[in-house]
Amino acid sequence: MMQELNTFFAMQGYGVYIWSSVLLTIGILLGNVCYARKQLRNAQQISKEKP
Amino acid sequence: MPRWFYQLASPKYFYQMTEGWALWLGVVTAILFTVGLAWGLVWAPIDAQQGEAFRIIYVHVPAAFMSLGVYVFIVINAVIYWVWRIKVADILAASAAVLGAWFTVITLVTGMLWGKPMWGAWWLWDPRLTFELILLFCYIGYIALRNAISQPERAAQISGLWIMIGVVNVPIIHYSVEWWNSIHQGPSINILGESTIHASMYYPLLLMLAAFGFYFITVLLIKARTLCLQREMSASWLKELDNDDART
Repeated sequence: MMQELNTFFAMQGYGVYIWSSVLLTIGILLGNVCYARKQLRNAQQISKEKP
Repeated sequence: MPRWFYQLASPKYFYQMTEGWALWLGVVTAILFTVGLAWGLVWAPIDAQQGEAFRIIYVHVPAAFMSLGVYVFIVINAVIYWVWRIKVADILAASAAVLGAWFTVITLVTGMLWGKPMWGAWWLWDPRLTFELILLFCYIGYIALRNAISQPERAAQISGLWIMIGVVNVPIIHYSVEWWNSIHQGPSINILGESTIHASMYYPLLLMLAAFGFYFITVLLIKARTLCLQREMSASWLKELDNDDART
């Protein structure tokens, strides 16, 4: 089982390139979502507090 | 045309009508990403020439597709604003810019991570790579112009002009592999004809393309709603909305 997992993650020696691409993409996309949601919450809070 | 379509052009109705949309679009996005990535990284067969390295296609190609598509989206909205001064068009254009820039960054970086094992170099001054880099500069220029000009209407006009001039880059990037002797491989997705890759690799690629598309719409809506609030801060409809929220 461990051997199969290691083989899968190694990806014939290209694992570093493949997993870096995937993790970088997920990181950027998630970061954008979190930032956008935070900005919306802040704007909604400011609009409620404004007299 | 139904009435709600025209109402979407107003920040007030756009903000109210799109409440809750991002949540459901986000759920669809998450499902598409999960299935698409699992299919592409685990079940899709190994490429005969590139081995496992080809799997970067499942993030690189959708990001590249979106980098061009979002640019065209911004140009269309910039034109709509130029001609008809529809506020929501400018809000959508401004909201899409940062997303488009990030898609371009993902394209370039994943391209480098693919190019190093395949071509032996992180970067080559290949036509497609070079013009994609210029596309990133176009995005950055658009964002910088919008932020540099304090008046929203003036910012929209001047930055809109910049983005419209830069649209010539989009067909250059797309057709560069045909016009020049490029090291970059040809298109993987052929909308008007048969694709060059096998169905077992093609379908997860389409899923990832859909995932990126839904992701863009989800985050665009969140950003556009934020911009609606920021620009309409002193509007009476916003005060009525806050009062309604306070009562419920």
